[in-house]
Amino acid sequence: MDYASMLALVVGFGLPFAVAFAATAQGRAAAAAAESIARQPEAAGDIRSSLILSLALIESLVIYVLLAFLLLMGRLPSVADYLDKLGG
Amino acid sequence: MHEEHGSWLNAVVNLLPEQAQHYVDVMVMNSWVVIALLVVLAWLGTRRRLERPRGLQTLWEMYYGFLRNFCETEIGPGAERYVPLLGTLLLYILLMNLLGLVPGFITPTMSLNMTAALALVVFLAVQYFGFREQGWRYLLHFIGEPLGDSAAMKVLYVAMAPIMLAVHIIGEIAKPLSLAVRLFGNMFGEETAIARMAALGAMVMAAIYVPVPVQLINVLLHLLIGPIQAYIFFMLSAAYIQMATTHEGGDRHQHAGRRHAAAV
Repeated sequence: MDYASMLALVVGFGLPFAVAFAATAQGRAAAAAAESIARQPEAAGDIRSSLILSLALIESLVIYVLLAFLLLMGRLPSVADYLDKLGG
Repeated sequence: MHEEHGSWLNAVVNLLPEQAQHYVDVMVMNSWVVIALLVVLAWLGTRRRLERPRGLQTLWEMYYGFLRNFCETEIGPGAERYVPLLGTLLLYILLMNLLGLVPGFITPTMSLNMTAALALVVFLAVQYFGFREQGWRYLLHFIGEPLGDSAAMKVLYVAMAPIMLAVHIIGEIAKPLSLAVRLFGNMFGEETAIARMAALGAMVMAAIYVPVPVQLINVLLHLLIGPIQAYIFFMLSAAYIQMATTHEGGDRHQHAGRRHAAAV
């Protein structure tokens, strides 16, 4: 397991993990918001604003991981270079 | 990386001599377009200030009413001082986010330079408002809140001060940093996604000779996310201002003053 394959694994798995956890959290936030709107429809405007805010804040965590992904992706070797290195 | 995304202003830049091209930035020039648009709209809306507003003046008054209401509920009384900064941030970032969808222009907030500049403005403004509201006592809020009145609690408070200072300073730097990175990441990701989907649409068209606007879905998503991110930036800036300017003991002074006035 050399550096390039580890890097490829990390780059590949980092973002899906972040997205999975963020999607779980956002689903719970949306479920709580829908439930509280059903219980108190006159507060729907406030609840909707809180929901959008929470969703955007959770999503920004995924954006940070995307940033790391973009930075790391620049360091991956191309297939030709890697095959050369393996052969040589 | 923004050389992949161009605008008509790139052509303008290319007309300049070689030496001068290093000193201009396409993103900043696109933001001038937004600034010009805002200046024209503001001038048109406030030319004749009618008692019963009509047309553009109504829109501006609605916007001001929303800002004033928001600031007073978020930051507390006396918040109209923060309305200009926050209102400008919201409208400017909103229009910059949407500028990328206009053919021939690019989203200035797509570059970390622009978002970092906006976050720097917010950071400096928060520190300035904190000092203006609370004077030298603003520095005390970096050491944390007093834990209690007993002697043991006071000793603990002083002992933990260095740790709290470090944590709070890191927090104060992390907050505008997160503002910058959040806005940049969202806008850059959206624009890159639109560009890639447009390239995909071009590949599809090369195969079946019918143009298919595959990037339409991403464009609609950008129409949704742009205003939301502008609103998030605006709301978090308001929250940071509120955190920096809350008076701990100030309210007590105010209440005492009112009680004295009522007694007289």
